Amino acid sequence: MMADRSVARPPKPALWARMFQERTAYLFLAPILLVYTAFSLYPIVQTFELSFFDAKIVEQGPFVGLKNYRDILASTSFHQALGNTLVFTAGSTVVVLVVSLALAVLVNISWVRGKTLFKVIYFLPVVTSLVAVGYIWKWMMDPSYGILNVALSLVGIHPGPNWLSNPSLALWSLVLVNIWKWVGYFLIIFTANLQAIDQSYYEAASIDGAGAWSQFYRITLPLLRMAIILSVILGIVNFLKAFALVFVMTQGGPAGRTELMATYVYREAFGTGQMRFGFSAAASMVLFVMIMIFTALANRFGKAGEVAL
Amino acid sequence: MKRRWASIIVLAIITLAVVGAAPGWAGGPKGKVVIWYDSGAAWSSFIADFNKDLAAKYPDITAEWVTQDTAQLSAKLVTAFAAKLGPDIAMGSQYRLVAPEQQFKAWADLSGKLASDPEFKEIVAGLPKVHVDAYYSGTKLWGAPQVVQSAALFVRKSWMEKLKAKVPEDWDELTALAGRFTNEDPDGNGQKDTIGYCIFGAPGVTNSAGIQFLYSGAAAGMLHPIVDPDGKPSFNTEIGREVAKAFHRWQHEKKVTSPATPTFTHKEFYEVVQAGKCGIGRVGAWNVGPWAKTAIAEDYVVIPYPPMKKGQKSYQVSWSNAIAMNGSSKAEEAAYVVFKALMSKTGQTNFYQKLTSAARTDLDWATLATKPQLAYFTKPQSYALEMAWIDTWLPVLDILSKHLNGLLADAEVDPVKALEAADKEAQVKFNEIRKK
Repeated sequence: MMADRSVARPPKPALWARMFQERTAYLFLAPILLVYTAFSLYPIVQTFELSFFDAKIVEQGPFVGLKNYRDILASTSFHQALGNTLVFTAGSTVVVLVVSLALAVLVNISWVRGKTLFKVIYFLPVVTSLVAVGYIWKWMMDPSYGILNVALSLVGIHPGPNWLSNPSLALWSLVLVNIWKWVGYFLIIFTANLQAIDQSYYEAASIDGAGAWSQFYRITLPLLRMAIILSVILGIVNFLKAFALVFVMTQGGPAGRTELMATYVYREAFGTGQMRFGFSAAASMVLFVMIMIFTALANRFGKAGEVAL
Repeated sequence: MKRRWASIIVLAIITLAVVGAAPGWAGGPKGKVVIWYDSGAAWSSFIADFNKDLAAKYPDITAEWVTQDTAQLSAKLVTAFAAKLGPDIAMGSQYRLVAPEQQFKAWADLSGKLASDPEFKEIVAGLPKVHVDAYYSGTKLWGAPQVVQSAALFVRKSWMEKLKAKVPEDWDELTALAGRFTNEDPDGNGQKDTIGYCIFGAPGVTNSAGIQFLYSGAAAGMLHPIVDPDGKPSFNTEIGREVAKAFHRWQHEKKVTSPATPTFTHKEFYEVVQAGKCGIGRVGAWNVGPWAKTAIAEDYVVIPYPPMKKGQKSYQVSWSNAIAMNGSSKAEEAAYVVFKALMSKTGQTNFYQKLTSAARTDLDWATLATKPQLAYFTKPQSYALEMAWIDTWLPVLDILSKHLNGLLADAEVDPVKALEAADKEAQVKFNEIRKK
C-alpha cells in the first residue's frame, strides 16, 4: 500500500517542551555550562565591552567608541604583529600537519616494531613546559655556544646562522621550535584515525593494482578528512594565540620581526606601565574574530569536500 | 568622707580617660604589617633575620612578607589599592611604585615625619639627597630609596694580565681591549669562545638595548639619556647618535659583542658572565656576592664606564629601589615602626651584609665593603639618574629599545636613521601621553 501523503506529520514540540523532556541531560550539563559562562563567555563579553573604553587596570575610563579600533588599524606595530602571526600560524600549521601525518603513516606500518615507544618519544615535547622548551632552544640556537651551530661547524658550515637575531630568520626559527613542540600531538590524532580505517579497503585496492601512493591518496587521505579538518582548526586556534615561545626566546625582536598578536596585546597592557587595557581589549577582539573566521572557513572547506567511498 | 569618695572618682575618671586616649601606652604599636616585595627567595635570609630582630624588639608587631612577581608588581599594587586592600609597606623598583601614587595617592606623606620625628630625620640625612629628591611629588615625600644602585663595568683581571693590557679609559681603548678579549684566547683554553664586551640588546624595558644606551649615553656625557625632566624624549642628540654608531661598530664592524646580543636580556647576560666567558660587562654591587660562587668568581676589577673621549664629562647611571608606606594603613603605627627598622643603620647594615646593597651612605663601609669590588661602589661618582618616576620613561625606553634592537640585529640599519625613527615614534607617544 502506498504511503498516504495526506497524513500530516506530528507537529514538532516547542523548544521549551523539548528542553523539559530532556531536562535530566540539561541538569547534568548545567554545572559545566555555568563554569564555561563564568570563565569563558563572560570574559569575552566583558573584553568586548572594554574595547570601547579608554580603560585602565581598575577603572573603565571614558567611552571612546571605535577609537581603540581605529588606533589599532593605524598602528604599524599592530600590522607587523598581524603579519607575523599569520606567517607563524600558516607555516606552523601546514608543516606540523604534513610532518605529523607522514610520521603517523610511518608509525602505522604493520611491520614497524616499537610503535608505542615512537609515540611516547614524539609526544614528550608536547608534555614539556613551553617555557622550558623556549629557554633550552634559545641556548641551542645561540650562534656562539649553541649545539645547532656546533653541529653545523662539524660539516663545514661556519659561522652558523644567527637563528634568533637575524631578522629574516628569527620568525622561522620560532616556527621550527613550534613544530618540534606540537608534532607529537597531531601524530596521536592521526594515528588513532589511521587505526580506525578498515583494512579491507587497502586489500581491495591492492588486488586492483593500486600502489602505496595511490592507496594513500585515494583511500587514506579522504578517510582522514575529518581528522585533518579538526587538526587544522586546532592548529590555527592554538598557533594564532601563541605567546610563551616568543616571550621567552625573542621578546618580539629583532625589531619586532617576531612580535605576535598575543605578545603585542601583552606589551600594550603591561609592558610599558601605561596599562592600556581598552586598547589591548580591542586588539584581543581582533584576534578573537580572526580565530572565529579561520575556524569557520576550515569547517566549511572540510564539509564541502566530504566524499563517500 | 564624701570629699574622699569624690576625689577617688575624679582620679578614676582621669586615669580611664588617659588610658583610653592613649592605647599605645598599653604596650606600644601592635599588629600585623603586610610587606609586598618583588625579590623572591633572594631575600629569604635577610627576612628571617629581620623578623627575628623585630620580634625581639617589638613582640606585638609581626611582619608578613609577601613576594610578588616583579613584572606584575605595579599592576597588582594598583588593583590592590583600587580595592582598598593595599599592603602596609611596599618595596620594589621605584617606577613600579609610581603608578599607585599617580592613580590613588596611595602612599603616606612622609614629609610631616621629617619635621616631627628626629629618628626619621636621621634616616633621611643618611640617604643620598639626589635620590631622596626623586621621591617628592610637589611637597609630598611619598617614599624613600631603600636601595641605591649604580652601574659600573667589570674587566677581567686575569685576562688583562695574560694580554698585558690595562683598564680602558675611553671608548677606543674599550673597543680595542674588547677585540683582544674576543680574538686572543684570554682564558687560555685554546678555543675562540670568549666575548669581549657583553651588552644587553633585547627589546623591552628592563635590561634591554635601551638600558644599554642609558649606560653608554650617560658615560658619553648625556645627563638625560632617555627623557628630560619634563618627560620629553632626549636621546636623539649629537652624542646620542655617536652612541648608536658605537653600538653598530661594536656589533657589526669590530664584532666585539656576542652575535646573540639582540636576544640578550639580563638572563642570557648573567649566564654568559657567570660561565666566565665575558671580558667586559655591566656589574653592580648586588652581583658581587652571587658571582663569587661562579666561574667568574672575583677575577675582575670594577671601573666606571669610561667617557667616549678622555677628559670629557661622564656620568654613571644610578637608580633606587623604593620603600613606601600605605597612606591608609590600618596598622599605621606598627607599619611606621617596621619602616624605620628597615631603614635604620642596623636594618640597612643587615641588608647589605646579606645582599651587598643599601641606600644609606653612613654605614660602616670599612667593615662592610672589604672586597675591592664592593669598595668601588662606596665611592661617590657623578650620577645620571634613571628617571623612572616620570610617566613617559617606560614608553620612550620601550620604543628606543625596539629600534636599537633592530640596529644590533641588522648590519644594514643606519644607526643615525634608527635613532631618528625612534625619536619620531617617541615624540608621537610623548604627545599622546601628555594629551591625557
